[in-house]
Amino acid sequence: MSSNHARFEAVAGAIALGEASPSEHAIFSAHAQNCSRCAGLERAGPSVASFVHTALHEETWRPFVREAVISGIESLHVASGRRTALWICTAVCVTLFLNLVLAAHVGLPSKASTTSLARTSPRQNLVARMPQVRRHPPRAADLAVLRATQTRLKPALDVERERAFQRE
Amino acid sequence: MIGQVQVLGLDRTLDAQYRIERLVLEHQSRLARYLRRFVGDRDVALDLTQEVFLSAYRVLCADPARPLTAGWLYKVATNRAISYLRRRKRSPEVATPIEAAAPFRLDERSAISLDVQSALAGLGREQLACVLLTMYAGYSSQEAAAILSISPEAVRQRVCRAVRSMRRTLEVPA
Ligand SMILES: [Zn+2]
Repeated sequence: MSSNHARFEAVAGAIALGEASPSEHAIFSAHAQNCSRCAGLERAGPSVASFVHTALHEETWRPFVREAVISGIESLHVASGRRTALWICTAVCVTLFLNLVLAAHVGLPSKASTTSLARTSPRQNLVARMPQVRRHPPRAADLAVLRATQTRLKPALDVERERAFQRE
Repeated sequence: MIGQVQVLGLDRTLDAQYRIERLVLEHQSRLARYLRRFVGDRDVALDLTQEVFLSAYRVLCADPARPLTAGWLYKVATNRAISYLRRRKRSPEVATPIEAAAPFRLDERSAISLDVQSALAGLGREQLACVLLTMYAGYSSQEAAAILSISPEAVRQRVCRAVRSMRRTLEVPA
């Protein structure tokens, strides 16, 4: 019943908007004669539409939003520029942080700053990572043996060279 | 390559700005008046109109090939107006109610204009959208249906119910 009545309401709406065909007018007139809710709608619809239309034509307000829109567009650009700068700063900070974490994890001196990390060559890095050999001061006995070997070896080498020369 | 991208980006922005300026010049008055009838407040209508054009600008920056019609502008405007009215209903302090605070000011000399505004104030948001799109903005029920994403039947039914309510305020004889 109500969906059936909704159909008549749609026709009444079409009449108000001037979109109804003559046959729709006839169908609605027949319905409105027996329906208290729809009585008079056939004439009221176009009248209301004409009121609204008149109100439109009597508008005296001349709104201008061009300046507001342009300033809105400019502030959109400023906001997007700020967002980009923020992204770049965040990316730089994250990279620095990851560098430090990686350096600490690999075993580089933890107090090495990022600038010193950037300056050290791969070879220096490698040397820094090599296990340190413990160095002891040379003992007096070792030094005596070394000197004796050097003095013994030197004349022997000279004799060898002299013999080779004579052979030639 | 980066330079090319930047030039393309700048080109796109300038193109969007040019198209927006044309849209503003062409539609600002009708759209702002439509929104004023919708929300009943001139300043709110101006704010909403600006928002509609800024939305259009964002769309054009993202997709320059997209054709933006008046129907698209009215669709965005209607959605914004409906959200505004919904917000105002939830928290009345969002703005002063329409007719209470002399919204249609002294320059509005026409009695019909004032009567129509008070008749519109008695409508629900959906009926208001249908009446304003068809009777005020001049769209057919078919076009209004496309703007509101409902069926043309639904538009006509809402118009009929709105007429029932408005004819009492406008004292239209039966
Ligand atoms: Zn009926």
